[in-house]
Amino acid sequence: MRAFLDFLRAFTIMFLRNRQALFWTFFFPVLLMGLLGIVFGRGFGGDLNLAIVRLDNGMVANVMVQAFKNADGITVSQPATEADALKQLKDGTVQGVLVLPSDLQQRFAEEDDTTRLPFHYDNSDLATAGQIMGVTQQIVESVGNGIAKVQPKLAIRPLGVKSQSLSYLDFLVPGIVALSIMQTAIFGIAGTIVTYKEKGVLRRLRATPLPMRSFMGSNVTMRVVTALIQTAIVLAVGMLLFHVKVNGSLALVAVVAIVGAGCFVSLGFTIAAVSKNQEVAQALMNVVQTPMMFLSGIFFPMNNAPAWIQPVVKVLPLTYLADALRAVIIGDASLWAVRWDLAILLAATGVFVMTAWRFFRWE
Amino acid sequence: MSAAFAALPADAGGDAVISIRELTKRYGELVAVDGISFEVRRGEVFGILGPNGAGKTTTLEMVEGLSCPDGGEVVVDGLSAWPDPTAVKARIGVQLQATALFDYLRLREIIHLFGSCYGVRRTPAEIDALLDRVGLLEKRDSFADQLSGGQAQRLSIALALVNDPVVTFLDEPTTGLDPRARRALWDVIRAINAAGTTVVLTTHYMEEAERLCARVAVMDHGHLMALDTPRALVRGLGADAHVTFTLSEPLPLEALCGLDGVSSCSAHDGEGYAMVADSAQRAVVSLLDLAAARGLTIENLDVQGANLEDVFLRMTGRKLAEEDEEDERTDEPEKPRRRGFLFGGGG
Repeated sequence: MRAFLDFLRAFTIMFLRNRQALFWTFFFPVLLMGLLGIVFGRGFGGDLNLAIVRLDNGMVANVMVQAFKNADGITVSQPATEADALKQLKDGTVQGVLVLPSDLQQRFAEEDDTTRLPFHYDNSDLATAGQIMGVTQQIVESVGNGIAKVQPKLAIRPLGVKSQSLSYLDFLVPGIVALSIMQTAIFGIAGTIVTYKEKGVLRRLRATPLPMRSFMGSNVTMRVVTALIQTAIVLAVGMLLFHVKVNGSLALVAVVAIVGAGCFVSLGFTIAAVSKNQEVAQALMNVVQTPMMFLSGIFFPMNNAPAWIQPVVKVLPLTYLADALRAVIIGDASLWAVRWDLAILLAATGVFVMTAWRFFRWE
Repeated sequence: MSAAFAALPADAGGDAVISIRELTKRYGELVAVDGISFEVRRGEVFGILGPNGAGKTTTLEMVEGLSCPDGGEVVVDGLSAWPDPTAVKARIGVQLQATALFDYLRLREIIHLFGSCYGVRRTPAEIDALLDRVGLLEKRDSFADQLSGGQAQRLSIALALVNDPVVTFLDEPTTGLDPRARRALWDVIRAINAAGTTVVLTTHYMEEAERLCARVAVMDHGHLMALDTPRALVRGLGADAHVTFTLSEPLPLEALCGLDGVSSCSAHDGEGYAMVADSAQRAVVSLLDLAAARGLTIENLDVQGANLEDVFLRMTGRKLAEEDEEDERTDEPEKPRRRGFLFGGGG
């Protein structure tokens, strides 16, 4: 136990003296968050503007307009004609135009098929278009299903991002948290273990009576604690600087972060186990992390990605960590609601630990 | 193999701190260590001499509890090293060939951390005393990657003493060091031994073995070729010295080889001659007499005492070490490297 604490202290000292590690661990996620927010977000916490062209005065159209007016983070204007609305879209006053056709009431009442409402968006700004389309779709669908917020008796508590969170940063922040946890855990473990293996540090430590689990355990503990601190920093900066809403329980965020860190720590051990030197480890880390960075719904939602890529999305552990964090942070999901995400992360942890165990060499 | 080496005085008799019996290690087809037995006496400096690949390091690894033997037994300070080497590891100190250290830790912090590995908590005064023993006191606040090759080896030796071991193992402690750093390290090793710690070291420098070791085991191809004091090993050669010289006029070899005190002789490049003498004194006297009788002038006369290099050459037909001057580490500190990874904590 004494040795465990001494190594924990030593790992912390080494980490704090490594300025590059500090930069990438604590500063970079915040920087990334800020840059992406500026580039893709429409100002920090700014609303989306939707023009509704109302050509029908029936009940459905009324409910629909009311639902949009009640929604957080979206501002509704009602130009008289579709042409006016499209002009506003072109000059950037609004980001989307929803048309409620004159026969809406009639079609809604008579047709069994889904009535598709024309929706115009700006092709040149796909990130924003994706956001406003997602939000609009959600509200339209919920109105169509008769569970819009205007009818509180039938309302459900919405979970997930799209129904509530409307700013890109709200979507982004849990993703950045997930990405940071992954990188800290994988680099922290694979990077150090392979270096120690290559330099003979592990061999030297094995020549002492110290049980290797004390050494490995203190390294893992240090990485998990770092991941938690990272999570706290990213969330705090997101809340204070970028007005991101954190709705969920912080304790549950910590639980999800720990499970996620555990998963990627074990992936780090797997990489360390099969890598003979740092070059191999570096290459493997890139191979593992790059797809996760871009296909796990960190920077943009994967729902709209082509169907053929969905199986890839589904096997990436980071997908589930980002999903769970988003559900908890933005959607105030319960532990029960994210049980499958956590179960999949734990199962992946098991696979990684067994692989690492099978292939690990000390030198 | 000469008959002189057939009887191995491997038994340390009285107080053996290490006993090795029939120790064997295989790597696939290769038998790295082939059933060797010997004992190390408490308080001595024991050398294992042999070329690269002789099995020296593998032997040490089995004694140190790093590598499980395929056969035989190892007893250190009365404790069996296998199957569970933990108790033995606690009583020994180890310096491995690759200097293994943590970046971003100061020397005193590294020593504290390694003490912790042995369950001992070193006070700052004890840490300073230990650094002083290896001549690194003024470097106590330096980082390990700011040390020169010789300093890094000395730190490595300090770490091999951190638990006050009964025996300390030094694996090629001076390999790659320049002569000055090598000599400084010899003084450190002598001082450690004088303080009561048994030292086992491997080397492929015969001079190191001759100067430091009370007894030397000569290994080659996983076998123990000989074990004795350096002096006895050399005496066992039946050769006292090498005598080389040139003559003003050529002389038939038969005349030289028949001289009193000469056991063999050869001619080199048509001009120079070399004789192996079983008695340097008688060989030189008879050579001078011969030259005087024939009116020849002897030039470049050189008498070199036989050494462990000759012992090894005689036993294996090979030289012990190619001089590797070109890849010697200099005593200049390496440039500090500050390595970090893209995204994330590499520290």
